[in-house]
Amino acid sequence: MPAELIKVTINGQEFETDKGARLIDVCREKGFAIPSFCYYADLALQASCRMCLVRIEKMPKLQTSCTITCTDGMIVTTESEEIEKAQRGMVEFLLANHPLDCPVCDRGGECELQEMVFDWGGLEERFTEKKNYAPEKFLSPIVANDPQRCILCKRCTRVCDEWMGEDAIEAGGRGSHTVIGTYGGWLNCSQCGNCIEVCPTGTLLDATYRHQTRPWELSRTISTCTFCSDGCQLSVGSRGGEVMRVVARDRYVNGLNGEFLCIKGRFAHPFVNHEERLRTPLIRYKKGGKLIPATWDEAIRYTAAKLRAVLDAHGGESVGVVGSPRLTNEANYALLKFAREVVGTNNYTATEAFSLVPFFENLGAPLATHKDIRHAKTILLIGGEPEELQPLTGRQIRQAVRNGGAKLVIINSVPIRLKHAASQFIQIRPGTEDAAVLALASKDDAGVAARKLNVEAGALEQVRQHLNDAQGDVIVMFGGELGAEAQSLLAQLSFTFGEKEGRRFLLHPLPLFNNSLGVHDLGLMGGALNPLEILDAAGAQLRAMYVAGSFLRTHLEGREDALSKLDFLVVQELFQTATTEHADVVFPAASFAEVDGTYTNNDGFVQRVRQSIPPIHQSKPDWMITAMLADALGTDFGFQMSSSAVFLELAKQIPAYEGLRYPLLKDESNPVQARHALVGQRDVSAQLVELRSLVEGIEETGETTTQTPPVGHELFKLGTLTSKVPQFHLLAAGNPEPESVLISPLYQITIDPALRDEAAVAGD
Amino acid sequence: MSIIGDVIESTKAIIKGMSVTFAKIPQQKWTVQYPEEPVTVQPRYRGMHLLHVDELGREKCVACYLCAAACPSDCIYIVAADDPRAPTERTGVDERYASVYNIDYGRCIFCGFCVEACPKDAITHGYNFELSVYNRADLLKTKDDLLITKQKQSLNYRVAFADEDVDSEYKEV
Amino acid sequence: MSQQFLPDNPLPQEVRVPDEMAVFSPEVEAEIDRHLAKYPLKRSAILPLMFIVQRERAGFLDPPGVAYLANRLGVRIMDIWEVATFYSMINTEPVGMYHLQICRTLSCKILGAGTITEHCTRRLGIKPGETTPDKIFSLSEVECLGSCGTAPMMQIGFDYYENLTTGKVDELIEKCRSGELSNGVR
Repeated sequence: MPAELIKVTINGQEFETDKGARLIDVCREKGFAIPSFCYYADLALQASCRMCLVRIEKMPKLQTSCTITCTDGMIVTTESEEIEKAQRGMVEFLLANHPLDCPVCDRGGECELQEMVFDWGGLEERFTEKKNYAPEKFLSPIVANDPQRCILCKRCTRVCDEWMGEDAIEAGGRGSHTVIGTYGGWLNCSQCGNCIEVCPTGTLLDATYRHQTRPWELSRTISTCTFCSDGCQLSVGSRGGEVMRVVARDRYVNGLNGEFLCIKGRFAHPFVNHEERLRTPLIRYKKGGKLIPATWDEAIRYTAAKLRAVLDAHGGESVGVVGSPRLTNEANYALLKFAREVVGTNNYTATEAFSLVPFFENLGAPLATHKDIRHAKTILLIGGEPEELQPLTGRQIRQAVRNGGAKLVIINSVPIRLKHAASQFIQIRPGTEDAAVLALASKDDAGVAARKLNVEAGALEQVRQHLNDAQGDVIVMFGGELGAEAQSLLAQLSFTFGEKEGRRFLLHPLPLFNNSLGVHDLGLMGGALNPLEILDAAGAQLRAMYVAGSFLRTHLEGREDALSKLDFLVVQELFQTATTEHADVVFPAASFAEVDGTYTNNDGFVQRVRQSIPPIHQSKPDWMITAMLADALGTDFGFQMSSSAVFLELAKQIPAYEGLRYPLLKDESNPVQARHALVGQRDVSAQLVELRSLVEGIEETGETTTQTPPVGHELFKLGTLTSKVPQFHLLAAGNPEPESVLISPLYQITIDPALRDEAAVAGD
Repeated sequence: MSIIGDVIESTKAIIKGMSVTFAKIPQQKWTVQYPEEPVTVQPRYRGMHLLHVDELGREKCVACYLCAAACPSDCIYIVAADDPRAPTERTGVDERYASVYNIDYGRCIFCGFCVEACPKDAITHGYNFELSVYNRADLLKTKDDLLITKQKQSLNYRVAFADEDVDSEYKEV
Repeated sequence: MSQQFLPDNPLPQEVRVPDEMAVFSPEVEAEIDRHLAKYPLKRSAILPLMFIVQRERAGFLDPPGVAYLANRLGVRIMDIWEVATFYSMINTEPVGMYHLQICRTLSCKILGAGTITEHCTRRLGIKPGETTPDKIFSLSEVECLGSCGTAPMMQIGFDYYENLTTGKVDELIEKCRSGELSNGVR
């Protein structure tokens, strides 16, 4: 819908602008700098800093431009003596209680208040009274707080409330004694750190980066997060080959995630420079022996000889190749090529938690982007828990409900936190998510489905009715609980409900890993065996295996000794894991901060991962190791040691990535979506029958939980990577409050070694 | 030209030259017999840096990196660290201190910008000027070499008094 | 934004409360009900309820009391914290039997509130914002209590003591010590 245009005069120049545009945005867009602290485009209006004052004709007094909506014929002055005097007065007030400790403040150098004072110059403090004093303290293991630096813009409280829906921090007290704080003085929230990101001064600070370095010392690299499938863009700040901190991309660029990051993206980076990183290639010369450090040449030669022996003795089908949804598309492509061209096997897979192959085979509607979710009118969430597993999706849903008035329907076996935003929450029996899909796909089966789900049939009918009547975008999200048939039916759901004017179905899978979609797109998940089958086949059909990354804990449960049955196991990993315990050769791989490549997020966006530091120790990018190994086995991949060459070849091979090149992926503000082939309407009656029989086989037992899971039950879980961050150990242990909040809890609380051991076997 | 003429000419030249020499002998000499005698340096002479401590012996430096930022030859390297101990037990005056503070004298141009930039008066130029070393790597001075409590002061200099006229002695020559 | 406070639009956030919740006698419950009945919106009764809870729970809002309020009013803990820290009459920390609140706003300040505070500090051995170890006195400086005509003044409990001099303060403290003075709250 084209917006109506109106005329606004700013400083004597006439401009055309959209009706309903915010005055401060229009002024800034037209090149008139307006200072402000509390204004934040995405958040509720505050108008507390009084910096954005402008003179509007026919209005008494100066007006705050951040709260004014443009009207036709408005005549605005943004620069005059009067305005400058008012603004200077405001800065003087802001500085009245602000300490002069810029040299020790971690925000120094990127502080908005500092910039403002620096730009203006000539500010003189006339207050001679003593400033309020309060010591710097900790609000949680990862949030440090210095109350005296606060200018009360309340961005943090609004972000906490509106983005995270937590309302964990608020402004307490009165007058000049107002401080940002939390009830009880200790922050028990999801620790996303967005309050730190939006803080214009040094009031809220990253405690993990506290007193480490200064912002101008860091070289910043825009990269993609390596944790969940949302693929947030982040800026990796590194110095001297060490990743010092991670912040969100840029607030002024309308990127995928803006300034939003979750705890993992923001704080779980220390694994990159962790001392336990594998330093050299390791070889276990004798079964049951020790892993002994070796040179690259030696390890590659040894591996090639051993693989050659297995290939000669048992043929190509005896070698399994396992990729990982944690690795880049380039690494996975190299592995796939290795499996097909060097080994000649169909026994490849990726260590993915669940397969989306049936979903993509029947994809009947485009994938939803995060922007679509934000502006959607109806959101249906079956299973999954985006707030914990895909925090950005969680935030977009919350924003869609809160600011966009979207209807949210949740079908879940657990009363997840998002329930409070839902207009309809259907709690079902655990493990019956498939039945919910059956009820949606076929009206006739609603009765049996309702019985299995342990809900009233009316509730499901209401959901169907809702989807039927819906206007605007309808987003269907689903987690990993769905079976293959349910996935196919869901992918074809738009045809079940038929065409309707003004309604558009969009699909949004919720896989768990950063490149889950990538391994599906490449076809690595389309191999002959899935991860569980490949483990079962170890020792029988499979004699050797080449694993990039590690098997998940869920894969290895009950199959602990499967890998030991292999004649030969090659693993490339960052750390020693349960998988490397049985490995004959372990190659040290480079982490996301040390490689160039791409990840594909759950929107289908192909996003760049950029090298921010040189590979640690002797590690090498995964695709390079694969290429070296292929070379030793007599096949030249022709990658010429450049990841862009790998991607070029990949883009030629994979239809969804056709035409993509690194230069086209340069702009993070406009991510490029992979073109997933949409299949038209398909006959899904076979799957329906299958699903019906499956659902009928579900036992009508299983207790439903009424307890909402605690915040962070998935986020703070210690995995191979997050267990390398000491702060996560504290959070996983329930975030205990230390004796003194003035000192970092890390110095006060010793981390339980049992937790660390438990984390070591987590393996994901 | 005869030989005698040559002898007379050269003797004249020698007498002329030596007369200047002999005339200067009784005058005051400006050459300093370094290292037997200390060199007089001016009060604002920019020698090797000093990192200062406060009255309790705590380092004044808070590792704000402003000296490193101001340095035109990029010769200062700092690693900041956190000191959670009680204020009296700390290494530095603040919680934040420099765990590593290196100056590479192979690159330093003694411009004094670092001193100007320091908000805590933690770094100043000292008077030590004997920086020559046998190994280039030794030009990198660490905190142990720079701290005022640890730096060994050379005996080969003398700081001029504030009212001492150091400049004019050179002007005469 | 403003939509959020309408009665038919409940808060989108979950109300998370401390585990332990205060229990009150039926008389107190009846009093609370009486206050709640006065307002069209439940959360509007936050101030009267805070006073009741504070009175019943040892003079300050302890976590069980806060939990009770959050539960009863259907507001978030942080909302209660915001309101409680805003008003100097509501305590979030334990206070002594007698809470000496000395006005420090203009009129009182000009007429010697500083001297009174200093005197109290010396007499009681505590700084403003602190409580004596025997838990009898708490001292705090508060903003204008609306008794400028009789400055300098202070409030103990809910009672005003006006036109103060150091001698009068000594008398008051003695009266408190001997238990002659009602603290107005308990």
